[in-house]
Amino acid sequence: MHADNLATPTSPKDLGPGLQYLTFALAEEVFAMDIRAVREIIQYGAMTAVPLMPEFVRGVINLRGAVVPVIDLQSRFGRDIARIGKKTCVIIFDASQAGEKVELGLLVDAVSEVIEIPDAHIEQPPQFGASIRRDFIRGMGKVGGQFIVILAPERALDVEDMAALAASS
Amino acid sequence: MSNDADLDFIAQAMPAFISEAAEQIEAIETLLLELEEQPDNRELLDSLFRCAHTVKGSAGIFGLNRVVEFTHHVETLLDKMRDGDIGLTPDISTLLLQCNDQIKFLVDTAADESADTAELKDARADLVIRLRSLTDGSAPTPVKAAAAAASASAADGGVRVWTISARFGVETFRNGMDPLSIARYLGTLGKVLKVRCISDGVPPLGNLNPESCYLSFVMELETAASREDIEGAFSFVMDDCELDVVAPETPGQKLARAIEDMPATPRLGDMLVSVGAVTQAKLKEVLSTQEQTRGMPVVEKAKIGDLLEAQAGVPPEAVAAALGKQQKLREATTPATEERYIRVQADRLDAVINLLGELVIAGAGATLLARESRQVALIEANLHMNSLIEEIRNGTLGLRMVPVGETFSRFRRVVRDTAASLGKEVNFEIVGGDAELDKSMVEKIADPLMHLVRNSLDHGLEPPNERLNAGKPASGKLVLSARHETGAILIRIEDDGRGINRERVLQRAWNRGLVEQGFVPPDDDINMLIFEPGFSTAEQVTNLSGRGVGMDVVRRNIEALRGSIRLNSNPGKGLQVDIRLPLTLAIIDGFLVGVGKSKFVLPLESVVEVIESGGQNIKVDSHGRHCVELREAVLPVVRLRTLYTVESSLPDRVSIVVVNSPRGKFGIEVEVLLGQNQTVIKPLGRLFRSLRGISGSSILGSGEVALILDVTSLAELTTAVQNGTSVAATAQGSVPA
Repeated sequence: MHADNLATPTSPKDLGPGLQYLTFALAEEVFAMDIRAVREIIQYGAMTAVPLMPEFVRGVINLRGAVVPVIDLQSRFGRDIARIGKKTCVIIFDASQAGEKVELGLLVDAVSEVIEIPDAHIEQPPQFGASIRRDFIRGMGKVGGQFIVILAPERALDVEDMAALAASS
Repeated sequence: MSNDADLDFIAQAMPAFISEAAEQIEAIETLLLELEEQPDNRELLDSLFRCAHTVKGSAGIFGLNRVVEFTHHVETLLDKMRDGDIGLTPDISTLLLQCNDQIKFLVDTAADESADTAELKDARADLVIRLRSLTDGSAPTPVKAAAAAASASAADGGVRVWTISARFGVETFRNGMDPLSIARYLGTLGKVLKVRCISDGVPPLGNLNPESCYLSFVMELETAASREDIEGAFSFVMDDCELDVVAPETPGQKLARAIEDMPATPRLGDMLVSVGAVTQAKLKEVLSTQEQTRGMPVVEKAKIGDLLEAQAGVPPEAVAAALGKQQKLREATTPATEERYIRVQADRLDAVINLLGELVIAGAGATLLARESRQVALIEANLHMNSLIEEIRNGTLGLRMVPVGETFSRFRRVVRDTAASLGKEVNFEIVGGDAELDKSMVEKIADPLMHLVRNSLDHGLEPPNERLNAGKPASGKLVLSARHETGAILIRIEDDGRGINRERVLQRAWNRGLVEQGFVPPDDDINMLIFEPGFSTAEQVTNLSGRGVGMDVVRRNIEALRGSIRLNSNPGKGLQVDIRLPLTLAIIDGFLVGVGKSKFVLPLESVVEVIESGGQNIKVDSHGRHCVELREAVLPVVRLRTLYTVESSLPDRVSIVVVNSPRGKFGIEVEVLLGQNQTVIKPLGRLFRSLRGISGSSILGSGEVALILDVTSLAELTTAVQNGTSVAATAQGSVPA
């Protein structure tokens, strides 16, 4: 009986398969990213600034003995640097790069929830009018009548790209 | 029946065989090259033979007939060399090296026979012909043997007594051979005077494999047949049989030889009995005499050898030989030091080292808390623990370190072959091969080094006549050296060739648009142009270097290791390439300093002293650089707060840490001195690869992350700042990396 309950999917079956996404806020705007790459979410804490790096590299943190760089997503999108508030969080995720695992932290204003978006509800990124660069967007997820930008972290947070930016800044 | 099981076993064991054979093949190469330098070194020759024999033997187990067949010819030649019939000439050495390459190829492609093209087969056949021409030239082949044997035996005047000792390989029965039939056949050649079967190799019943052969025998044969005829009886088991056929000699010598050649038996008495130097009964008698002396504590236990000599009339030569043999056996049974290795999976070792890093950090945290608690006993306990951690740290890190010389010596072959193919003469020297470097680093540095070495040979060193014209000795010099230097390893490739032709480099850089036409950068920068992608000055593209894809890759690889490469060219006199590699993954002793809220770690070994200074003591010279007077000398000073734009109010007093760098001493202005600590280096990752002056990060006991300053590149940054270039520009990598 219990087993039956557990086996019942929480989302409606007729919408087809979908993935789970973590949603988070950046200055009032909601974004989503594939939960599978997310390792953990930690509170904003002490951070060591690294000199001579572009603004979007906020610094490095000590994650249980590993030194992990933290990227200010706001600033990476070309906006002002994020203000640190009560709900400021760091999302730790795996940014795989040429088969090599790199852990990165993402500084976001707040983490909201984990939702499932059926593939059928995801549309192509718009040709124009998006708040961030088009290639940073994997798709637009329709949730509750609103569109949420689903990030393409492999593009938006490409370590090689960012390193090149750091070198030229 | 067990065929499938056998195949399974072979398939499982194959990778181990290939890796082991690869080691042997590498050893063969090293030994050959060493042997070239010391042709009379018997030990080298013996090791060489052993290696070849091992490869052949284990290939035989796996049924790799191509390897066995080919290696057999090599072995034959080596055996002749061991016998002193053939000396090592450069030609033979080259031939053997080529053969070794073939063996390597055959082993590598053991699983895939299709990789063996007709061309390669021809090449191999050619090598075999050359090998055989050498071996046949000095000793008659079995084909010619009959005639030779006839004349030899005629000259000897007929019947002689031969001592034959044979130790059969374990596989003998499985190969369908029967030692007994060989013994019987020998009986047909003449009169068997004595046969003794040595059964010491037979294991306890539990371990005995009825299909394995554990027997050896020593036989005296009175015959008119020649050595070749006698050896011919063993031809079917030759491959894994240790055979010695000893011609008649004086009784003492004869016995000594027989003992030398005899299969291993651990007991002195047995050895002498088996060759007939003493009878079993006499031995017993002597042994009982020895037993009697044992009861007397004052008298030293009489030596069996002495007793045998004195009481049984055994010739002293025989006793000496038997003793020598016994000694050798003991040495063989106690594993030699170089074989006392345990193979450990690298990732297990890495896991231990990672944990150790955590332990060091946790230890630092505990010490910090203990200090805050002000409990003396707790502080002391912590200090003790920390000193133990330090010992464990040093020991564990040592596990990963390998002497860099192992990699270096691989280049001997490259240098030799490359120089030969270019018609150049070169003396290759390796200095400081025992400097240790992390294993992973050693693996990654091998390729770039190889390229640089080839480059020196190809472009740097001139052909002999050109050298003579330039007033240099005909033979060029190439030195590969390694040494530790302020927390880094310096690997230097130095040649006395023509150096870098700056005009040509510049001309090409202009042509290729690497540098703006007509602009002449400083000399050092011109040298560094050869590391630009797509740059090559070779007039003609050779197959060694000069495809223009190499040097930029070399630089990239070295930079990927967070190392740096520097050229020191002296046109016409030579070129010196310095590769500096940081000790990543390592744990170093650090010196913690603070600037504003930021904390930095300096490698303790580069710190010379610390001086206190009021801010006003630091002078600014006309170039805008800071300096301070230290014992009547001007010391340049780096202001971390300015360099790294650390925002904080300037305190009244600052400290200047004086550090040693390859570019000389300089000072680093800091605000707080936080003392010495063990620092686990955590690489900062690729995101920060453009960052200069910082070699990594470290986690402090408090959990904070501190950046580790790289003294060498900091010195370079300083120079760049002094030259008026902005820090931002140097951060772009315009500094010669």
